[in-house]
Amino acid sequence: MRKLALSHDIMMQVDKSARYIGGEFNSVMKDKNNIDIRFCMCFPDVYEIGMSHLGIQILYSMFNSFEDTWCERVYSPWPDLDKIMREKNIPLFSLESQDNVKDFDFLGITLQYEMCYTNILQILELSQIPIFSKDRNEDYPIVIGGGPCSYNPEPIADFFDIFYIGEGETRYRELLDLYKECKKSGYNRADFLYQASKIPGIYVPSLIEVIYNDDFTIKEFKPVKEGVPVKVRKEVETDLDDSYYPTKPVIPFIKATQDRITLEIMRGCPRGCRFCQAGQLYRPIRTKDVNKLKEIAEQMIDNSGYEELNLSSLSSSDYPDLKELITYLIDLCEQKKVNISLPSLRVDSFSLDVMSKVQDIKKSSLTFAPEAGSQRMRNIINKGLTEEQILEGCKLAFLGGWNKVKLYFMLGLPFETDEDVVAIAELCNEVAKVYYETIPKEERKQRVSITASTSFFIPKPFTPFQWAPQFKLEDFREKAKLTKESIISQLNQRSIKYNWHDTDVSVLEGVFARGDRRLSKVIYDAYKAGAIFDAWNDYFDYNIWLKAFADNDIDMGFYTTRVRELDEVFPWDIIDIGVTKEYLKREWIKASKGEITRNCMVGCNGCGANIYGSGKFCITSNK
Amino acid sequence: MVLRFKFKKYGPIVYLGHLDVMRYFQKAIRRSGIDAAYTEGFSPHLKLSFAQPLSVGVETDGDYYDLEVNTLPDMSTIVKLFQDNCVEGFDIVSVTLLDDGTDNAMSSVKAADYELTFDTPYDKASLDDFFSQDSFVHEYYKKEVLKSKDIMPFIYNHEYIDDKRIVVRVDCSSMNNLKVSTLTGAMEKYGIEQKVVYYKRLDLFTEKDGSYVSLGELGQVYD
Repeated sequence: MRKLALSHDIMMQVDKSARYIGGEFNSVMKDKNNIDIRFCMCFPDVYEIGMSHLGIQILYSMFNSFEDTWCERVYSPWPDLDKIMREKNIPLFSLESQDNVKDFDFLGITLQYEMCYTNILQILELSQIPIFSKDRNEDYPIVIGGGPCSYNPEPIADFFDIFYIGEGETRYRELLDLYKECKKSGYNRADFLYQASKIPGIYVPSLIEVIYNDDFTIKEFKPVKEGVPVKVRKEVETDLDDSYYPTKPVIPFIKATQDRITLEIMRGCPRGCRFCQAGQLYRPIRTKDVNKLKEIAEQMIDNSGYEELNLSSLSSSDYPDLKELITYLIDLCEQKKVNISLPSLRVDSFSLDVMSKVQDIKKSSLTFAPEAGSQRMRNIINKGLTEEQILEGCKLAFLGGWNKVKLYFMLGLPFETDEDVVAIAELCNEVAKVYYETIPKEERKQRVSITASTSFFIPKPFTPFQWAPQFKLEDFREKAKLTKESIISQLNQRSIKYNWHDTDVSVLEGVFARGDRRLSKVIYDAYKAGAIFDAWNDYFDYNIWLKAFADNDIDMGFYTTRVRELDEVFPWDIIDIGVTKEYLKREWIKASKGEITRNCMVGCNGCGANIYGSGKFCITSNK
Repeated sequence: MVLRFKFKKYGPIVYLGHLDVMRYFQKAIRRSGIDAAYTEGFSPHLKLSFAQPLSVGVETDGDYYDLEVNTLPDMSTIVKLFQDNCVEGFDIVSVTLLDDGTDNAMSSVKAADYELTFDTPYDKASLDDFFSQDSFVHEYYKKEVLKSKDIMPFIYNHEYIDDKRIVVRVDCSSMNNLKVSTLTGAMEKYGIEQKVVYYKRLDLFTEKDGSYVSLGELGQVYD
């Protein structure tokens, strides 16, 4: 019987204590006397969020398939437990063995969003591991970061020993072997890190010195030691059909945010929307074999007992065998009494037919993401969706019995004018108009309901918009106000509901997204002043951050609203994602002219990601 | 056809709340592959009912859920089949094929036995005095609302095990369920000096022909 790290008294004091017990179905126990490497995988947010993440499930199953390695998990203790652990000096523990995290060989932290940065420091501090990598000696675990935010790791560079750049399936074995080798012959941390930096995809920030210009833009990256590469190329799993997939996922006891089977059908996206970071980071596009997917789906249903299955990709409509897959899954799921939750699909007769089979039309709504209101703006962002397509899709849906439509937009896109903002309201009005024109009065059972939501655009590294200045906080608020007013002035305004979220956090997200190494100290200071769980509205305190920036004499505008020159060296230029900076530059210039770029399944646009030679579509379209 | 599963819950998983226990068994049943009955509609659910929720942090030797099945699984291997699908801390003790017309676990449960462990040896005389009262009105808070309840009518029996442990049988029906925390609160207020530091549920009972029968003994038992 496993023994918990926390006493019964503490377990009865904290909320949802089942977050900390481990022992879930399919979680892995090993005899620690028979293994060489203990790896603790961390998602720096609360258990219910972290357990919803597919990436950790993939790596967990991969690591545990290695005989010499035991991979366990840890998540952020909620503030109630955090307080008790500090008061009683209880070190943070892993879920499986309940052993102290500080005694592991590796602590791997996934970086899914910028607003989790203070939680990383919480994990380190509660684990009683020095927060700054320079203060760690041979007794402490190697702290590795990975995931989307590691593509610009500079703001958190001082806290990590290693960043793994790219997909985890490829190089971990090599890294672990090197570690074992180093352990055999009088382990020296610095020496291990130096050797690790020569493995493709491995970035050791302490071995690179950043030289700044007088204005704090970057002059150059300088290796601290000979042979340390100044360009780290993203790692890509080239064969998804032959890679690890967690067909025995760990099943949480308490309800996770995504409490269902996730079936990954494809990586990458052929669309090239210019605001989208994932669309560039996960290039080249790689699809999974439809027969393999059918097999995995059935295994996962049988192994998990889940009641719901969900398809995962950046753009499921572009999956070549989608019809075959969905038709098969509908049958399988009916037989197994599993619900399918459909990904957002291009609205056409096929997707509407599928939707009507798997969900209650009266309750469900149809979702479009035009992202921008005007065609001019949609061309700038290269969102290949026309007003005609949206309205035609809505018409089909209304005829099919739906009367709820959700529309997602962004405000603050580059080159946006007031007319573009007003066009959001006009588009919503047009959708309502289509309803009234399509459905005769006597057949209208309820009023059509259109929900428009806007979020604020934040320029991200490795996108064509990485050169774009972010709008100011006041501008964002003005734009939201204008959207609201324009909606109210529409003829069908009573059918339209408008949602938007507040902005402070967008500014900070913008700072970290395109930040540099000077921010590590700011993050540390804000954390020490109480910033934690910044992704949670209830805990986010903008004033703490304002003070931390002021104390360090750093202007947030340098990272957000500043105009960047085309030839500026960016903090993330140390990393190479395969997509070239030249291509992104071309796209940025085309955006400024409102020119569109075709879907790369139609033809190659020369982004550079075909150096991996792996993308099935990338390759075929090049022939 | 309805199968009744008797299970134990102990160890780290005692911190699962009732809803999580239900969710856990729903998945375990689905994994077992038996031909269970489902509700109709867009999101079919298992026809599953639990006898009585157990508080977070409490261990049990005898809790129950009833599951409707379309076809009878192989009853000689069913305990093993379900045990293989369990995590550490859940044990399937037995499976019963209920006679037709048996009330479901939730509506038939009338009483529960709890084993209470005191921090130091109890004083038998004071406990005897406490349990022999005709009435003891206890005031306690339930979700921040002050409640007042005469608890004695809901205590059916008590038994001394050793110098620190006793077993108490209390009402566990959906109408009058007496929580152990309420009972121990009342004992403390009455003046019992030894503190109950730990308790667990031993079994659940229904009433049949004027006597209490374990929920696990109705119908044909397989273990």
